[in-house]
Amino acid sequence: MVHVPDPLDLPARPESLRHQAVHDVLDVPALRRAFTIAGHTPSAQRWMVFLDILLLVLGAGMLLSGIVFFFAFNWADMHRFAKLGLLQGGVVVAVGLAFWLGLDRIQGKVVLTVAALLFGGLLAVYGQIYQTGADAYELFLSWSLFTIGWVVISRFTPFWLIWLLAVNLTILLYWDQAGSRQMPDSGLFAAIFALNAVALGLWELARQRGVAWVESRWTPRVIAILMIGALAFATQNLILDSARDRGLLPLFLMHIVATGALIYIYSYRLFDAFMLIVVTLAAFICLNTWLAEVIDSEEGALILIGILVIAQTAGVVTWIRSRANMWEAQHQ
Amino acid sequence: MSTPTIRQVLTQLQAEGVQLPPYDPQRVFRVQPPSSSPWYVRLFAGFGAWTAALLLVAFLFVANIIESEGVALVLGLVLCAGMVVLSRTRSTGDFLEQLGLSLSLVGQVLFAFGVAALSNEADVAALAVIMLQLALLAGYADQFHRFLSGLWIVGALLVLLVNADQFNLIHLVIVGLAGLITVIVVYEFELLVSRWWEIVHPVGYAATVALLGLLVLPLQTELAIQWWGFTAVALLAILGIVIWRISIDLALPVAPLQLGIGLVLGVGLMILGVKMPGVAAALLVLVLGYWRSNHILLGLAGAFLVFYMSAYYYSLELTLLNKSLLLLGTGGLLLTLRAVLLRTNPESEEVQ
Repeated sequence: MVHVPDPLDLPARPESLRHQAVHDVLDVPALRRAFTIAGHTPSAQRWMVFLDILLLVLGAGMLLSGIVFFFAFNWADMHRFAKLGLLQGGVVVAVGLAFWLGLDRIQGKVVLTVAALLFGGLLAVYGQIYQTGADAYELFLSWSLFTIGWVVISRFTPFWLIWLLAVNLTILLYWDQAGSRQMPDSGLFAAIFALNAVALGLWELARQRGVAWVESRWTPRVIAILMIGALAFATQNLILDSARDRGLLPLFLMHIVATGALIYIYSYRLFDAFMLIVVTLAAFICLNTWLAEVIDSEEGALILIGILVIAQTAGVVTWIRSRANMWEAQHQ
Repeated sequence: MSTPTIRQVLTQLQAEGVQLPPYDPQRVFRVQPPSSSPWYVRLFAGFGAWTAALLLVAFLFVANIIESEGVALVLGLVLCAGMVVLSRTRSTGDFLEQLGLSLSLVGQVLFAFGVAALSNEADVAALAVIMLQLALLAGYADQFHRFLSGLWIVGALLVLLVNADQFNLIHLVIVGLAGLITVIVVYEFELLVSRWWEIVHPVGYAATVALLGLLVLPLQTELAIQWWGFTAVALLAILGIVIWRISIDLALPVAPLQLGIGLVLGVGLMILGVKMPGVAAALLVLVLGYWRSNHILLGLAGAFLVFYMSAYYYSLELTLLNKSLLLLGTGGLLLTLRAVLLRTNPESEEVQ
């Protein structure tokens, strides 16, 4: 039996109250009063808080920008020890502040993330000052290795995501600067897919085991985009130039398997409409690209693919809605 | 403070003696805002619909079905009319809604292209676009489409101004847009229960986006537009009227010291605003958005304020040191004002 909540017990959000007025439940004076009761019309004190926040954000923002501009003005003339000392000092202060605030609080986690970013700046400036000749991927690799400890103790999803993106960037830059001479495109796609598939699997496993700080849905979604994106790029390359790289065919087969697996998991085990959209969109782009390649007539391709896009989109939206309704009904 | 339920709000209203219609379970179910798909599902539907529309239009051109400007004009009008009918059909669903939107836009582009090519006059095309958009505002029953119609109208007005070499009249357009937004927000509750709300609401958002978009112009130097000070003063005057209206609503007793601080802030804003009219507009939209708990206005104003101030300081022809000193000075002044405000209002809930 499907449980339908009483609409009157839903929160009185501004849209709900406006909707009541549009349907003649509330007239203008009643709507005005309802907004005040529900706290949507600010009181005098809330206006003071608003002004307080505005002055604080603008004032602090301009002050910090002024400090950055000051150092930017003096940067070129600063002694190398001053530059390194400034960044090192920033890292030390940020780490100290993070531990003083405590890593259980969001402020502590944010400051630790800032410390890691400052550390990245320190590595970059070190490479620039001493002209070490390091490639960019070595910078990102060093950063990723040195900060992994902080990432683990932070238990902070944005930090984890930044770290994972840095590892992805390391692979991309390695391939671009050194690897492309030794391995074909499929090697890059396979590496990106493997890294993100492992990350996604571990994330969802942790979530299933009830690890509290992995509740965010957006982190696995970003990881899934990278994972499926790598496979979709491989499939596109196979369609457009299959003779160039034999490693693309296994990746195409992996794309089919991954698509089926993700559709099953995110339809029936862990419902997530966003994941389903990413997976189906990637599949449709590849399918439509293939059709555009095989159909000789330009007019024929345009009209057929145009109609197909209509059918694909309508089909997916209808299917996702029906799955969402069934999931809600099963899990009320 | 958590948001009370609708039941709690209605109970409180009845306790205060407000007359409400008798409880009707059927109406209660109908008056709930229709549940909508998550934004990414709608984005996907939109992406699919726009892609399909572009492919179909490309087919029309490649297959030489559109052979002349006249055919484009007529086909454009037919598409617009057809999509108006579709928009008024109940329960079209996300996909048909997006397809209708994209085909209507294609129709508008074909119509504008046809008129411009046949008349060879930008003025005629702009006027024709304005007439078409006014008709679509009335006819096309979709909030996003009406929002786009509002933007089209402002765009066509700009074309008329440029063509007539009267680009300095843009200040009137900007002040007019600010005035329109203010009227819509101030009288929001009255408009909500009127039949104009469905049109006025999206047009208000279009006016906001157009207002903030036009205020990027002072940051550029290629178009020689003068008298930005006039716009800044007018916008600050409108902001002042809004603040006065809010204070009346709150029945605020204003202490002399607070009035003095307000005047200092006002004069300071006037001095800054003359150079930075974008700040005046952003503050106006920010105040209006906060007053009506409108997160879209708050978000637009906040993002524009950050962008505008960054772009302004970046474009200043000063050395990094002088920019640094200017920023430090202004930042310090704002924080000092904040400190004075907190001292004069000890009951305020200071930001934690």
